[in-house]
Amino acid sequence: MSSKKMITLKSSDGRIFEVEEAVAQESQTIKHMIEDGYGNSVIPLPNVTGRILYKIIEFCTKHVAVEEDIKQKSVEPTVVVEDVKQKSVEPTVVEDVKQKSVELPVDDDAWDAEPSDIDEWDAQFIDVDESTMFELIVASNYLNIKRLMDLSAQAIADMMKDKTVEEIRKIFNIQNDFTPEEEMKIRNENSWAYE
Amino acid sequence: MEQEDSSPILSLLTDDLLLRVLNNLPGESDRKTFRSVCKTFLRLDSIHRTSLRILRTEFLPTLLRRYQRIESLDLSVCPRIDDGTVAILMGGVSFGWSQSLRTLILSRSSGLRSGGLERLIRVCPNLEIIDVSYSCDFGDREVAALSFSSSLKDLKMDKCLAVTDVGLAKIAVGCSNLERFSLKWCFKITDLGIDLLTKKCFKLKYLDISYLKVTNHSLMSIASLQRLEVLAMVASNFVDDEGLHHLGNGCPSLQILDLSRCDKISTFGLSSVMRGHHGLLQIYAAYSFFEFSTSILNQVKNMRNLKTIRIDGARINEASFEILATNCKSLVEVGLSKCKGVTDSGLRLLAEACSSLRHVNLTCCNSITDLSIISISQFCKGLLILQLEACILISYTSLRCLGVCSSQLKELDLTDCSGVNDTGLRFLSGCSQLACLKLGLCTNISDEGLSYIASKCRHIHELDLYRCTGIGDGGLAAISTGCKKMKKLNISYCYEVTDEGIKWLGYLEELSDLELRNLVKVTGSGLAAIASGCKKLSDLDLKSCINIQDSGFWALAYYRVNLRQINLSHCGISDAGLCMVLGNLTRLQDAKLVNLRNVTVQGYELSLRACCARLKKVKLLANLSFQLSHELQDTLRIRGCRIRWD
Repeated sequence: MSSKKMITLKSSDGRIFEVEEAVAQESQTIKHMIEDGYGNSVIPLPNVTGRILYKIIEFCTKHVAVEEDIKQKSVEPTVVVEDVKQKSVEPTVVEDVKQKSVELPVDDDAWDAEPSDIDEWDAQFIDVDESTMFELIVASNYLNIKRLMDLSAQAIADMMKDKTVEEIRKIFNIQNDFTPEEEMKIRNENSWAYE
Repeated sequence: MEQEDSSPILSLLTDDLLLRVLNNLPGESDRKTFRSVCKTFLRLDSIHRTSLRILRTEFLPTLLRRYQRIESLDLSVCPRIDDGTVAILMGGVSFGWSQSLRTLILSRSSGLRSGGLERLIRVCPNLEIIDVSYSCDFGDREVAALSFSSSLKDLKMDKCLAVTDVGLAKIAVGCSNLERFSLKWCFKITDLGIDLLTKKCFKLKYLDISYLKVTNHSLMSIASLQRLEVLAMVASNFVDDEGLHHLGNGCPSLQILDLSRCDKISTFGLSSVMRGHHGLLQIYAAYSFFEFSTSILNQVKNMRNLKTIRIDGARINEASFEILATNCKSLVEVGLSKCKGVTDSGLRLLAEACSSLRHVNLTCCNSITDLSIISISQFCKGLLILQLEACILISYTSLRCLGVCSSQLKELDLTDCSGVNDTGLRFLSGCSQLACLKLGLCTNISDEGLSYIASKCRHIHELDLYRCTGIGDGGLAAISTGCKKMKKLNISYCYEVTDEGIKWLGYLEELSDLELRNLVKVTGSGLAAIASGCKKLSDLDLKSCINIQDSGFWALAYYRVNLRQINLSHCGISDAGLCMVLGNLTRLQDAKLVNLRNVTVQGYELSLRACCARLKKVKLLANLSFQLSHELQDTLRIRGCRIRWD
């Protein structure tokens, strides 16, 4: 393949990063800047620190690589049939399955090269301390990277799931700014008022 | 603000990012925890919430002031909605909530009259969906109030018994944008009303005229609806083949047809509908025919897109299975409940051809064996719902196959399958996605089998163990530890269960429906444990639990104020206990109080008086009708409460 165009990004603390154009374009913000003609000079990102930018580039690089993998493998449908062959007990079933492999309700991900692998990678990627997670969601919002925004929002929500009020306040270091009467009122509403 | 300096989440994340996080918290309890954390979170919750289901009228004004963006308001479980409640709603300063409101659910609100209803409808200009079903006293004037909502698209009026053609005409004229309309059980509607409806509301896509006394003339009118996609006419016993013939010549967009339990139609009628509609997707014809005859089979050959067919109660033969297998390969649901002639070989043909099958109903097909289940499980990889009630030849072999090949199975009904035992349950636990499992009357299972299920099937929210006499305290302990999402549990007549087991149930925080009939070893302390632990309990059946003392009932009255339905028939509750229960449970809507041997007539008088404003249904022993004062009975009736005499 011909040499890919490289884009230069500069973080808020002056660090320079060179990335392939495809990776940089995972961010809609950077993509628009390139389309507007700024692709040849250094693109400054004053809202993103070097540490976070490094992680974001790692995320985008991985996802671009995975997508290219899928594109290559989608030309060879035999991968799907082999997987299903192992699962079914009767050999005659394979005939039907070949025709209907796109309709099986359970195996929607069969076209993905490594469906569970990328989810696992994502889970490990987002397994960071809270302040990094918050910086990631803010940066991915600024850079408009939908997949990373969704991933970090889900991760923060997971930290809140099935916890009590006190636990959430402790984890996120939030002060209780309700007066005792207000708090009582809210508790009443929660228990008796509505579903 | 100093708050934001110390807390990174509040200082870094903007409102819209926090709303994104809130989007990923769908569970109600998590949302309620979220809003209790701090003022910022409370404010965000008020912006975010779009639907509200109100439990008590006294909170209405506060909640509507707080949630200005709601799109759906459900007042059906509020104890008593009447014109006074509407006045409270109107008394609020701002009507922000009424502008965005699209859906209004007022089912079972018999207290509302046309005045209040009209005021409510006029204030909400963008209403699209209204549900007033089961408001049995609703008549033409109330329905006329609904007709002021010109943007209405979806109206449910099931069981509004007093509505006649006059009211229906008002709707037809006022709500010409109507797309979905359900009028089940509105017995006073005649062909005239349906005719006007079809002439004015030509955008109708969904129409439910089940149980109505309409005749073939109505079907002739309905046939003119060009956009109708779904027609339900369950138990339309005044319609015969002539009406179906009209339908066959009209309704070009028809996709789904339900003519279950229609006495006067025959297979010729159905085949004439099918002849005109080869694109039909779903046919529900349960208990309408004796035989899945050749006339229908000939039409089935043309129905390539058929997804659902239910022919419960009909006789079927091998040829039918062959024809279905050859022509209807897209089948997703097959209903063969109580059908004669269902065999292993027929089912194998079907399963092999229709690998998209997700829902198979074989209730009472008692000649099928493990071979059928093995075929279905191996060929239909997407199987989600399997009903095998009374299939007595099923054994652990089927369950082993299901556990291995159908691990995505969600619902399984094995009621009265005497071949199910602990070994079978151990194999079945491979179906870790099971959400609903019915094992009623399976007397060969014990705590050991149940604990396999409880340890692996963590998503179960409905479990039926009716008359499973082998189940005891150990089984309940297992369920309580493993199945934390349990919502509905039936352990009636499981005689071995004692207070020990019941106390374990107190740890099931999501439990909302519990049936404990005739558990004679359970006493007050067991009931108290459930009362204090199961915070979401709303429906409790304690019939014939004769050894529960008042201490249990007092705990129930104290803790479970959100209880909605209760069955205390044949219990040993005293006068004081009954007064406490009926007096304190301010959301109680349905109470069965037959044969309470320790309650005097005086006790009944006092207790019923305490709750007459909220109760909607009560069941009492027949001879009480002579002993209770007329004044009380009249008050109950006026307040909208129905008394059923046993």
